[in-house]
Amino acid sequence: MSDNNKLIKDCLSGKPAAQRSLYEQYAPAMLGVCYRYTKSMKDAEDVLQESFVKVFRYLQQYKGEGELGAWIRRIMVTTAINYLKRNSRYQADLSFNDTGLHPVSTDNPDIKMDAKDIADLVRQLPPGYQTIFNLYAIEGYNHVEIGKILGISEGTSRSQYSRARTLLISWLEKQSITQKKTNYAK
Amino acid sequence: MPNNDFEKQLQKKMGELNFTPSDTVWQEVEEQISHRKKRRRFLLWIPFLFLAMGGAIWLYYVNNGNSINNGDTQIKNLKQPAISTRNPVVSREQPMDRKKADATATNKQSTNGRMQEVHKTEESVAGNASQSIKHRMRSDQHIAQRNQTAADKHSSVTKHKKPTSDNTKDILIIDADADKAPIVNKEQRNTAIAGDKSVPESNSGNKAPQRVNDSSAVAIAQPADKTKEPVIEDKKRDSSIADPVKKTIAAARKKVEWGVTDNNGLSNVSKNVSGFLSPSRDVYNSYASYTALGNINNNGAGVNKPSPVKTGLAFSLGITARKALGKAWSLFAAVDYSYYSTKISVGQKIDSVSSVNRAGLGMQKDVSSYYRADNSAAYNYTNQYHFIEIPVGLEKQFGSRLQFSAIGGITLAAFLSGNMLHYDAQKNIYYKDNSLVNKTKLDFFAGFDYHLWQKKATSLEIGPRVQYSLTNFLNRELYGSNHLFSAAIAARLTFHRK
Repeated sequence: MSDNNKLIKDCLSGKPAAQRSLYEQYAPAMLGVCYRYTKSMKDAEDVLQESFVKVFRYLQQYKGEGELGAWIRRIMVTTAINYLKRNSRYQADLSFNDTGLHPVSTDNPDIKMDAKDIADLVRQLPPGYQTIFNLYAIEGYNHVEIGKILGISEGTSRSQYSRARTLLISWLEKQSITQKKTNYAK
Repeated sequence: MPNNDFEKQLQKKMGELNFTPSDTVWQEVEEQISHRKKRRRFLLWIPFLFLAMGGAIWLYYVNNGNSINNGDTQIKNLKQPAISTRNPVVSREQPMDRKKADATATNKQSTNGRMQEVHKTEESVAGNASQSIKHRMRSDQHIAQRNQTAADKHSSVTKHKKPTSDNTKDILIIDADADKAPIVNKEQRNTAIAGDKSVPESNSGNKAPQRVNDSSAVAIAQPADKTKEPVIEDKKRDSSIADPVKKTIAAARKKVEWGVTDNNGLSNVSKNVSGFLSPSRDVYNSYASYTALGNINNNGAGVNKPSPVKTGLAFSLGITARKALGKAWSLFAAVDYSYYSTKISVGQKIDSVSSVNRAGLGMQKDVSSYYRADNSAAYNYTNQYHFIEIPVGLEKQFGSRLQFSAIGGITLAAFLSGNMLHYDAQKNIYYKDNSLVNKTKLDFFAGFDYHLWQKKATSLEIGPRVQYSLTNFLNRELYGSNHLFSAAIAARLTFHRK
């Protein structure tokens, strides 16, 4: 933590080397976060860039009471959602008008795929599903919070998450079957 | 989802997701960071630019206040070419004809230094053009010296109001439900979401977004009236941001905050606001109707006409204190040095004792010098007024980030000094008499501000101001109803306590 404190102090005093160091330390993991929310690596990098500008701009607000990584991650998530909201490519699919009843899947399949493959599956969800799934399943927000963030009702968030989860699990199972067949063939 | 195993596995897997960003990302970030720093440095100079501009304009006005427009040639004078007479009662007025003026100046050359300068200058105008330039440069040097002296006399002091907050802009924290069991890992517990342009507050770093355990639910029904959920709208997003931001800004400025102010603009004295924009005789006409004893009517028609009164430069400098009264309301007070001016055209200055008619006051007064008011002359004269002012007012901040504010209040002012010329229509002359300027005045002011750098230790607010004297600016018995009006661009630096 002391190293981080020095790094932050140097960043705040405007030292380019420290800023570069902070970026290099967190950029790979944060690009992973951005990747999950977007549909292309270019968009993910746009979000990453915008987020790191905010990080350096507001770094004086970080008082060192939480983990710096978590603080930066929150900025990434916030920026990503706002990016989706204002980007025309995502706006059309980001409307949450599906509020019909949907059973909540109780399946809990084992995930044997690697991180990137899972992330790619999540990215194949429609943007609305994808965002809610990321916020609930991975970031850990509850549906009340998601509703506030996205400007939708809690029920809509639940419904959309349920559909996203069911869809993703079915894809995972298909992938698993395909993989088993491939292994068996070998 | 009885155990949320699926989500836990996902969280673990996604924690391993890493990519190496392309080099262009850092280059863009670096460029934007450095650009922001440069811009910030530039913005810091804005208040000083305002001050410099105000000072330059003031010097310009003062410099041209006594200039002579004589045909095609303009000669700047430090002082009006004056005719001194040894006879204290009988004045020897200088004729407007240039030849006569030259002759008079020549006669006085040996005893009057100023006259020597005028004589030399006019000589050069009539004669050699290059000599004229040389003398003009010399004259300008004197003017600069005089202006420096004048500037030294006017000690700068204060002007009013408003602060802002620090470390508060763009913050949105969504609290988790405390009674729900967290099921996220440590890093995720530290996560929260901020709205657009928002940045998480570090104090909430350990606050965990917690999940509602809804695994027992089998199906989720939606209310019938919510079948159509809205597309994400900026308005909704803004509304979710606005309150926390306002709260944090308001909380950060509970203490009394200090600042400095600088207003630069224009002023005029008129019977009403409309006289501010267009040159008007109405103020002098009122006085003239008294002093001319029927020789002139209220419309300015008659034997003698006073000069139109044009707008002049106004500025103020001061210190201000501000105290928040609530989330968006503030009370402020200031102490300012204020300068107002108006411009008129006058004739030659006569250094001679003369009695001027102040019929409205039922008495006459002797003055040691005066200015002729015949229309053949074209001196630009600046009526200057120096005040100490104490503005007190309220400020209401608004906007999604409280970046705008409306202000209004009253100002109590004390007259320090001035050089206003008053018009005697009977003799058709102008004379100085500060006793005809009311020593105190009560003004109303209003304006808008835009706030910059609210989160920084020093914030800047810029916006337009108007000020109108509720009480009469000049002696009402002589001038009738009259008011000082000013419009300015106000800049204020507020220093926030950390």
